Amino acid sequence: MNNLRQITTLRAAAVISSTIIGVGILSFPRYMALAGNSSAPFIAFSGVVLSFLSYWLLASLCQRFPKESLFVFSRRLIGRPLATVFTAVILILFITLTGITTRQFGDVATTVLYKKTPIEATIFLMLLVSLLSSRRNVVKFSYIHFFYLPLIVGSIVLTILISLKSVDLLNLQPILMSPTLEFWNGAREASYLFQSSFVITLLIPFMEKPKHAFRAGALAIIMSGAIYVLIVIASVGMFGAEETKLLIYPTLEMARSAAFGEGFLERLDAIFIIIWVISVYTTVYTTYYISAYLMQNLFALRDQSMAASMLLPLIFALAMLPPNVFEAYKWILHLGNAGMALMVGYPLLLWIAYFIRRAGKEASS
Amino acid sequence: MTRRLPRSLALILMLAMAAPVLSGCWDQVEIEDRALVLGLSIDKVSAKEAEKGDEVTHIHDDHLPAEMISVTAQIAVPGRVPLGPGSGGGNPGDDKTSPVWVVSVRGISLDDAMNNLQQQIADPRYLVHLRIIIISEDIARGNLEELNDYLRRNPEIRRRTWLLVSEGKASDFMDVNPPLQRVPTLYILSMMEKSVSSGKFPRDYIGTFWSADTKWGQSAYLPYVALRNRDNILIKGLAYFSGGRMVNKTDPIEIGGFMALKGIDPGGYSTLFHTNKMGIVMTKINERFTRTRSYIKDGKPFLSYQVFLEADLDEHYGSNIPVDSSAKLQEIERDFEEQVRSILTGLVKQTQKDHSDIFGMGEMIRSHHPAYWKEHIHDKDDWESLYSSTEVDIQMKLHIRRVGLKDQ
Repeated sequence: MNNLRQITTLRAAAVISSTIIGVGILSFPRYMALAGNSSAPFIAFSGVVLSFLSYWLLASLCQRFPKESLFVFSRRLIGRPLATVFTAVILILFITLTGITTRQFGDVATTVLYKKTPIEATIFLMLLVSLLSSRRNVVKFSYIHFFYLPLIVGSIVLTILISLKSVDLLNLQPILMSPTLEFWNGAREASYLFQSSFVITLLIPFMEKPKHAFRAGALAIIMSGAIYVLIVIASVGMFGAEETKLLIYPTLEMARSAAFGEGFLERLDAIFIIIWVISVYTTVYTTYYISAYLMQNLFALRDQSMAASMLLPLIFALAMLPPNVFEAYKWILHLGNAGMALMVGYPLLLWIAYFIRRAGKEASS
Repeated sequence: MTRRLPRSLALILMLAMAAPVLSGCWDQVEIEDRALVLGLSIDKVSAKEAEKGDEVTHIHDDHLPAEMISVTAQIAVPGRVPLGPGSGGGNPGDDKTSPVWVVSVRGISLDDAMNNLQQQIADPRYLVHLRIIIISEDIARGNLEELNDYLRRNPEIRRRTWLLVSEGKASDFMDVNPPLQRVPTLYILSMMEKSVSSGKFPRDYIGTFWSADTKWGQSAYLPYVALRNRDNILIKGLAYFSGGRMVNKTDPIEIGGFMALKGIDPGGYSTLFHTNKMGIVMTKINERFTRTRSYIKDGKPFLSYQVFLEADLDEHYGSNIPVDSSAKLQEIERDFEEQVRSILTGLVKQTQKDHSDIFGMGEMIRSHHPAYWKEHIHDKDDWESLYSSTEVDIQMKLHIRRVGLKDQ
């Protein structure tokens, strides 16, 4: 326990990418097809670039304070009261995000997998597992992600590769589109999926090489971004843009239609769904962990495990709030909007404060 | 020690609580308790016969459509479905030993009919193993919206299910008794799958049908099947759609023409034709390759197809001139090209008359000429009417590679 800096760059990258790959993969192609028809992969790609920029803004700031997390050094930059307010807003954001993500998971699970299991049971179990693992420290947290990532990425890539053979290239043309309002909306929605890369702020104080924080995130965003773009290519290419818009979970349909040879290896959706459950778990785990960490920070609690346990009923209640699947998706979009504003606005504010302070220091010396 | 005791007690309690969770699935249903539906057939019921509904899902309501459908389901009887050739299973004609149970119900919609079905059988029905749905031509010519909605919405239905259009009553297909397979639907399934692998039919699952149906620049088509001699199933052509309804069907040889135009491999159709000088010749197509180009000419879409075929000479009779030189083969090739080209042009003309772009020419225009598309096409109907006046140019090239074991 003497050496706190145990998280390697690769492991940090694993945490970020397994966090990013989550509940959103199932419905992602539909949003992209709605925004840009056959240009959906291009929009997804632009979304990746956007989130890359916003990540750079955050990570390069955090790299300047390698010993502290964002919530600690923000107090020095903008003063304790303002920093507390922002931390509280981020806390609320992540608590809601955890709740709604779990809800989306429950919706899929009860529709497709367990028709008789009450949605409360699936949601509660998912939250319970996340709670139990959130009680561990950040190093174990990173190990868990590192362990699951190859499973998640491997099987998703396998499903995509099998589906790619039924892709009709005509469905993907024209590739480019002019930057209309829809294009930017689509790209913005795509970048929402990458917001959980925020977790890097927690990891930096424990990283072996904090200077590599940006590199870790870049690696993670490129990898998960490639997977998201490939998923859009595979499902829009397979179904066509119009059909993709009709499906609630195009990626799931894609896995359901994929087959090796004729009747030799069919029904890959079973494997896909199992892996998807794990990928949801890693996502919920991260947002849960961030919430617990922030809560401990904000209320100066003695340890994080208590904060995590206190959050469970709150998050469970939030998950049960949306009355139906459409509301849940509407909420997640609003949350994305709020998150976008916060994830870009807050680092910007801190950057400005940082420059002002540095200028002030130089002037005084 | 005194401090340890409560902790280990708590641990034991927790483990005891975890035990029931580990015991299994919440909604497990044993396979013997499931009614697995393997195949469905859907027919229209004439308004006169439709008087009496079972009213399982509704009380008499004038706002609901008066027309009814009759659904026949083939349900697998647990324990009697043979696992391999010759292993158990009974005689399908005999009700007591047949591996499937054929149940017929009526309803206003497919879902209504499935609920009526559930009301009549004990075990919960499962559609997870549904592989074949046969609809009668009447249904296909009517509105498929309800059917598509239910099948798309239901998570048990897979996109790799076959949807077939039948000549005459669809329910007759549920009673066929083929000697090659014990379960009739599995026979129909393997027939369709094998016709795909031998180049007799394009891979046209219900998912493919849906995708084509939603695309603006393409019209959907389905296999059109007919019964011969009560037990034989004939793939009789393509049933093609326009505006979501079946409008017409092709001849079997035109399936080959369609596949040639789309360049779908492997080739599977043989053509019997009369040559100018060398009597009657039959060629079997082995490979198809098609190059397609699209242009906008004078504000109208224009498509050119170059079809390359590779074939065997299968049969030659009715003339004294032997086929023994490449010049003669070329002559046969030329005659073939001319005649098959007229089949293809005829097929295109026919679908143009019916406003059904089964070739997906509109998709080609959409992806290669997006500006033109955006200006002229605002929904699927726009393209289906523009398709009729689209100019199509077809070039054929046949290459005979083998002539068999006979010299001359």
